[in-house]
Amino acid sequence: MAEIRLVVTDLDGTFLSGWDSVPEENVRAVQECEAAGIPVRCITARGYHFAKRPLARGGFQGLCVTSNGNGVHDVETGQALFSRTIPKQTLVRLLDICARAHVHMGLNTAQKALFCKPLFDWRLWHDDEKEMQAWPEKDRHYTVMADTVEQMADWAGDATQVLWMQSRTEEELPGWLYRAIVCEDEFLLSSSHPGGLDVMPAGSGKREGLIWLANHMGIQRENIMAIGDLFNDIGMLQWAGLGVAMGNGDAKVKAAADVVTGSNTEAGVAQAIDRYVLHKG
Amino acid sequence: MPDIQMVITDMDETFMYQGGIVPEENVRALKEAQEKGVRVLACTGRSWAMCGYLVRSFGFDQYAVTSNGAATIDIQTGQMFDPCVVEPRFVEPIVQAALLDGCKVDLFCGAWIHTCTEHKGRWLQKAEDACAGRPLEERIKVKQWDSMEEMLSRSREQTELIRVEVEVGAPVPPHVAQTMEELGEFHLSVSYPGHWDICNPKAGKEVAAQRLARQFGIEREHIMAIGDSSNDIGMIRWAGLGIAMGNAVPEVKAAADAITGCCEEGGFAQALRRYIR
Repeated sequence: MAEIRLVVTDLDGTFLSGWDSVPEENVRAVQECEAAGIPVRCITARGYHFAKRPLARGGFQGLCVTSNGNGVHDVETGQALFSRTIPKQTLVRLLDICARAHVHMGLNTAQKALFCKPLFDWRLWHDDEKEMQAWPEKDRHYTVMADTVEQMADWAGDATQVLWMQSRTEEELPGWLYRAIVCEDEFLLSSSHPGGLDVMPAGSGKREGLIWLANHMGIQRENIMAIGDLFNDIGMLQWAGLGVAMGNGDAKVKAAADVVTGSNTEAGVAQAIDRYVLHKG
Repeated sequence: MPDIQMVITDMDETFMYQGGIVPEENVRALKEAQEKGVRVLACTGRSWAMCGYLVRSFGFDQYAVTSNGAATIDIQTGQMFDPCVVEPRFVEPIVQAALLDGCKVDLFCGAWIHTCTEHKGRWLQKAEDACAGRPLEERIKVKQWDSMEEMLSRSREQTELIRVEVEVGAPVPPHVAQTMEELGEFHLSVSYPGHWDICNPKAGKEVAAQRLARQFGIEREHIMAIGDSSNDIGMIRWAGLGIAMGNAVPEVKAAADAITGCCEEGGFAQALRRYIR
């Protein structure tokens, strides 16, 4: 097996054991890895704004790839080095479909997480919503709630990196919605949370994000270990020299990976780093 | 005066100083210009291996011209367009001549700088030391070999610039000068005092600038070029509005239409705010 020179990890369901909680073992593993000269980087479906706090808790440096490969940000400064987006005209068409299907949805730009009242269901927001309300005011300004769909489109402009949606009921999203989405434009459709749909510009994906990062850092694919748990991680697990699926991961993801590690509640990331990078048995 | 639609700017001692310090006003002025629909492109003697991170984080437009015009890169993808390489069979003779003259030498090869341990430029070692301890993304991409022969065999097909290290103010060293004369034409420039940069004769900041202008369909009178050293003279003369930094060398000031403030005072920002409506 080739020497690992770069580790990339998903956040939710992988590096994190909860919305914002980081197992201590994972922090230790990142520190040791960096000290050994091997960078550890995140590739997440979250927008930068929602990734910022876990990134800081995890002790990450350098760049992070966000919005399923559609954003690259400096972890420290938040400066965006790369952004792939959906133009406003296309966004308006997508929002019309969302409105007709009455979904729960939001979108990420490089700077903001945008929502709109008609298409938002507080019951579906993450469990630690209370924690988010406890964030300092300055960290909350990047979540923005528009009054109408039109206002949301105006605020997003041409800067949408990901539009995500999910059904408000137990039912799956209807078939006509998928047909409507892809009939006129080319998108990458993926899923970063169970029952959800992510709509992104063609050419997106964590795999593309990893390729960009590897190219930027000058590291070959065989020297990269990638760790993930869900469908949207498969691309990068396959492309990396060593693809690692979390113990809590989807069966399809485990099948697509080279090896499986412990679950995210057992610091599976630290286990993988210890085993395959730091060679601690 | 025709309105400015594109700005082509040098990086070191123009947009930034001391290797990476950027006056805040420059970043703001760049964004203001872009909001007005003006493209602002970086045009540097640096290798992409040494400016990729900076160029991407400052938010320059689309294409970066590097290696004195010998390589143009799509900033988003990192794709290199038609690098204008030194004729492969010329690379070794020039490198060997430089070694005979007792000079250090490094090769710019696309996304990497290639070098040989024993003959590595002091400038390169210093630059690497300056970013030691920074995340890998911010460090220079260098491929270093112990064997000169191996370095040459990996590099000769893709060398867009040969950098020969001399003393500040020194002429092209004798063996190098003679070898170049024997081999044919070259683009010779100084982007950094004490170092001679040797490229294919078709290279040059103004050549790359002209190609980009054609690509965007912008006429030269709508283009502003800003620089400080002799490798900027070509594009400063060619552009409709050529601007020399306050800290520029005399011949650059003489070639320009106007002079702006010094780099550290934000002369770049001053020029953008003054001439872009």
